Amino acid sequence: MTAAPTASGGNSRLGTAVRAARRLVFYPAAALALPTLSAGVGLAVMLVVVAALGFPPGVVAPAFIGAVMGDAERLSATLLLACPLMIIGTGLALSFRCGVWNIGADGQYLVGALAGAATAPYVGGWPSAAALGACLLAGVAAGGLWAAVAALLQYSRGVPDVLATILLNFVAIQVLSIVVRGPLADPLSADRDTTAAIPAAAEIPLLYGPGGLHAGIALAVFLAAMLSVFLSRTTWGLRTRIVGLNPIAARFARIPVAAYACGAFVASGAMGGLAGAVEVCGNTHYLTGAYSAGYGYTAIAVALLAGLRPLGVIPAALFFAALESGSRGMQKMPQAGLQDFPTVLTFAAQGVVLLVSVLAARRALERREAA
Amino acid sequence: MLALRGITKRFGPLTALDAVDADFVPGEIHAVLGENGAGKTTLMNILYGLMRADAGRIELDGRPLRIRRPADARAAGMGMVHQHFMLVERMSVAENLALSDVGTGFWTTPAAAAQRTEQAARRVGLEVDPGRIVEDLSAGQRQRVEILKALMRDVTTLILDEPTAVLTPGETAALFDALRRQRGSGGRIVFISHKLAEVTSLADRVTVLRRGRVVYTGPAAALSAAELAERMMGGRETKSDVAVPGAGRPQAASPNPGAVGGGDGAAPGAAVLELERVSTDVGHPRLEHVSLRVHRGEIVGVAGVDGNGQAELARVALGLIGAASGRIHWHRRDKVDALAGARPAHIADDRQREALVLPMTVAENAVLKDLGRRPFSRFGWLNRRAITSHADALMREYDIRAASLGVAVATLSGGTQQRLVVARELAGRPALLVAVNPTRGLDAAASAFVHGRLREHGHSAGVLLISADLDELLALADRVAVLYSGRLTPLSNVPRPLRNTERVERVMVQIGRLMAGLPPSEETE
Amino acid sequence: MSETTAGAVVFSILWRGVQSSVPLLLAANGELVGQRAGLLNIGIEGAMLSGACAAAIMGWWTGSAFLGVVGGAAAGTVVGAVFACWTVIARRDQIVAGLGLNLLALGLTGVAVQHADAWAASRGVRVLPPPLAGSGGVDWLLPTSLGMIALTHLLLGRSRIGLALRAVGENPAAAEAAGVRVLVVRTAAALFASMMAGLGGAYLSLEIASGFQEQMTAGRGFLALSLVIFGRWSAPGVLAAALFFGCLDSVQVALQPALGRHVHVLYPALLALPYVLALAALAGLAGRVRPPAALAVPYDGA
Repeated sequence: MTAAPTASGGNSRLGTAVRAARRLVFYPAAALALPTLSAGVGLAVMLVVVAALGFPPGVVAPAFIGAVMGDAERLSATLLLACPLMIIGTGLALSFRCGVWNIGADGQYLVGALAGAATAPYVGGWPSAAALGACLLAGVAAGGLWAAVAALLQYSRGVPDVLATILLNFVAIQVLSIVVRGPLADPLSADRDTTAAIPAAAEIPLLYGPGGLHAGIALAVFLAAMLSVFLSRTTWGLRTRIVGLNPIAARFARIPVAAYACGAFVASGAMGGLAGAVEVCGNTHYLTGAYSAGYGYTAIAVALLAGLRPLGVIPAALFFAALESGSRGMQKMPQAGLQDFPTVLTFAAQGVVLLVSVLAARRALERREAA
Repeated sequence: MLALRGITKRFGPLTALDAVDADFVPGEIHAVLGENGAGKTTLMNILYGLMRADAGRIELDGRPLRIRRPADARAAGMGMVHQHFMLVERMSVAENLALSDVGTGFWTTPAAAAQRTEQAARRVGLEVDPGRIVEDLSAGQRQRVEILKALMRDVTTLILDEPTAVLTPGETAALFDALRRQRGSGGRIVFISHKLAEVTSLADRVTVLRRGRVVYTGPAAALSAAELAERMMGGRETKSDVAVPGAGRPQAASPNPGAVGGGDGAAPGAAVLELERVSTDVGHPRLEHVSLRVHRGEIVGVAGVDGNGQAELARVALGLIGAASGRIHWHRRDKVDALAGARPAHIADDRQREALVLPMTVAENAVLKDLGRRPFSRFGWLNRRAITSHADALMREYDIRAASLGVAVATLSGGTQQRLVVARELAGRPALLVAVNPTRGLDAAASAFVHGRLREHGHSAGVLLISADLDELLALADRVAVLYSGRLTPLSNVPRPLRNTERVERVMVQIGRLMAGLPPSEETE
Repeated sequence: MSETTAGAVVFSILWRGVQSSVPLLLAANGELVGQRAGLLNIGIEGAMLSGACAAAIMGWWTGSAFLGVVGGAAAGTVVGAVFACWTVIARRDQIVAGLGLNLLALGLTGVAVQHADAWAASRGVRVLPPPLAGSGGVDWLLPTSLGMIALTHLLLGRSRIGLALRAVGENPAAAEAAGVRVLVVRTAAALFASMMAGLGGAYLSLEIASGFQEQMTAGRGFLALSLVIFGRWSAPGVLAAALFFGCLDSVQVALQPALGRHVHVLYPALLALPYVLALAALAGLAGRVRPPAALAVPYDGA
């Protein structure tokens, strides 16, 4: 029986050469095409709406670029925003690859920030590295635990992960409020809605003082790289991918599906918590009752724009950080008439990116594996 | 006359149907014969509107018929009994029938639906219980519902796709009677099958498809069974030493003299798998007090219609689910192999769900079950070179054709995928091999390959062969038992050589009775 | 407290509870129909938000509460149309599509409310009239919502449309083979579900809250999703669950003045209570009820 001719050109030497060339040139191009398209459409939609609101595009575009990276301070602000998005996004890439729909990253982020801020006062006297480490660890543990609640609900009681994590988000918001206004409240603040500043020992060292850019961004990049290696080069990573792609075959291959899924679930929660602690220790240095900025939801868009590839999370997080930081920074731009720039519009851009990504993603994913 | 003219259908580079012509005349049973993958089901899907042809047309009494969806086909008087039942499991029989019954009004009550069901059942001559939930019905009962669904309206053309796959021999006979009655009242009947014996006993006219082309169409009586088989296989060597599924029935052409069963009658070795009154509390149906022993060097066959506990038995034998009561024991080899060692091998029923991860590469699938073991991974780190060299060796030894190790398994054909699965499972020379419907959906060549490997493996290890295909079981197994509603009958020997048709027929009758849940008749075997 | 005033207090709490349950009931009603057809629409939150925003803007712009409601329903239907395009026609993942719609709605409604007055002024519409709450403008939505859920129950159980819908949600292939147009049924279900969520949002902004704020739905859409499961995918169950959570909401509001010193702890706890209860209910029940078999499974059919 002869093999049917495949698109890959068969077994001839020429075929081998063609395939190698394809992999070198086309695969990276193909991998980039979809995210570029999604990001482009999202950006375009934003520009269209902004123009419809009366902001002239000719003014908006250069101002936006300036707001994102016009000077070192703006660039710092952008990178600062990218940091939590990258950490959470990496965690979500892991959980989605394992088939776990963790929509609760926002709540995990909040409890992580809470844990970090709660630990900080107690470790003020410790040496800097230990104090910081303790706070970050607290964040990791809190986020992991918050995710574990949802995992428990799913695997022992059958509550769908999507619902459990979303509902827990709303609970987390209130837990934050209770603690910030209660035990952690700063007696000096007017409305009892903020905590005291964390001790200096627990602060993350700065990379660029004037901009406030802290070393967390380096940690974020490192984590993304680590996950990439984990998924592609380790046994556990391969098993995780198998569980995500075909849990039934995984069971027949004697892979403990529930264990891996729970593990990915909790790990992604831990990363969300870590992001929260990093934000408190590195960026804001205190906590408010209204801390959430929807990073958990934006990070879903980050993970999907990245095609669920950890290395892709880095540019994807930068893209969304640029959108947000650009919008926020418009007010500071010298051009006139930009005071009322709608910062909330970035959510719309995120939604468009999600929609475009999922529209084209399925086909692209199949092609990638077959390349 | 319902005519198909020039029907062509392509799936990407694969041409499933190539300018197929067929005529269906009232008062006639017309069989469409071909091996798995020949295009029969595709042709019927197009006729019924489940798929659309790339070229060609359908004509009814000379006028063209536009069929774009099942609703159009039904409007043209067609009814279809599908190979994989199209029933809503959680609804009752009456509700399923009401779903396709356009004659009723806007409002329905359960009582009214039950009444209509009973009326239709009486009219057609089949017995069903309107209130029962489909989930709880046996395969044979479900098929009765399917048939009733098709016949309930005034149907001028009845299409049946491999209807006997899930029937016991007794139910098959009853079905054939019902079809002859339908023919008698002037309907067109289109009957798809890959089983030669059924076609020769039932059909008036035959159209033989091979690789998407019509190779014969005419009266069924005009050709002998052997000639039909030849048309079906295309003049390929049928003198292989394996039984071709469907062509080896005792009543038809006698099996080749060279055909032997597995085991050669050599004394079996130690038991590799022992089940002692095992019951499970999961599964549908649950296993109840199943006792079974598989020895090294023998092939134990388990017959039975799908849905009687086959999946549960396989999982128990593989160690994936435990016994709620009773004992399971696997006997390990004395020397632990470098590769698979003692883990039981599994050739799956549904390979795309159970054995392969389609988007992953050939290399990754080749080591799917041995990821944690030493050459492939050390301290959690994957050894890519070891993986690729192992996969390469498998490809060469088992002649698996794929463009490279890095392509997705999804791009391979069904037969190639099964080769990969077989290669992977047998690579470690396991002591126990559990095969469940291993040749389902494969063409003759791929089936022959699988049977050959099973037989070969049966000499040195123990094989548990669970199959709904009696021909396969009789060709390969040394001993056979029947699984019905989660219970296993005692094993009986398969008479060898298979040429002794009278004894074989008696065994078949007993098995048939057991498969239907009837007690064996007095003539013991 | 005398008996009459105690009774009056209880009555007013219950009445408020019924009113609070209307948005939940409407949205859950729609989601029930959608889920019975096999569609898991997370975007219900976005549909509700869009409905609330559109209703507020329309109501203020035209001065008519009725037109506001129409606007809310229309906005919801548009969201449903996008969802249908993505999930039914293009057969993409339902959860991601829903999330995307939520974000999109969040952004667009935020922009709309920030710029609605400016935009209205530039078109010569006079300054916004006073809010319409309690004006009786949308009172009729309450009995309508009760009627809708009753109608849904009737149609689901005893009509051919209901039968076809349920079949599509359990086994779309079987439904198609029986002659049901699965794509049509699912699209209609998606449109209906989001329209109802939009109506719920309209009631929220026009009657209960007398205005639109950013993110005002605050997870009610997700609560409605839980209600469908909590109610075991049956109309009476959904009604009971919606009323329960509505009354819970109203009790929480009534208790607020009585919280006293511990308000900063008890108030957020009360706000979290619905979500905690929903989780508990799901945990208690979810193992024992079965969703429609084809829920969230795209149908690759003719």
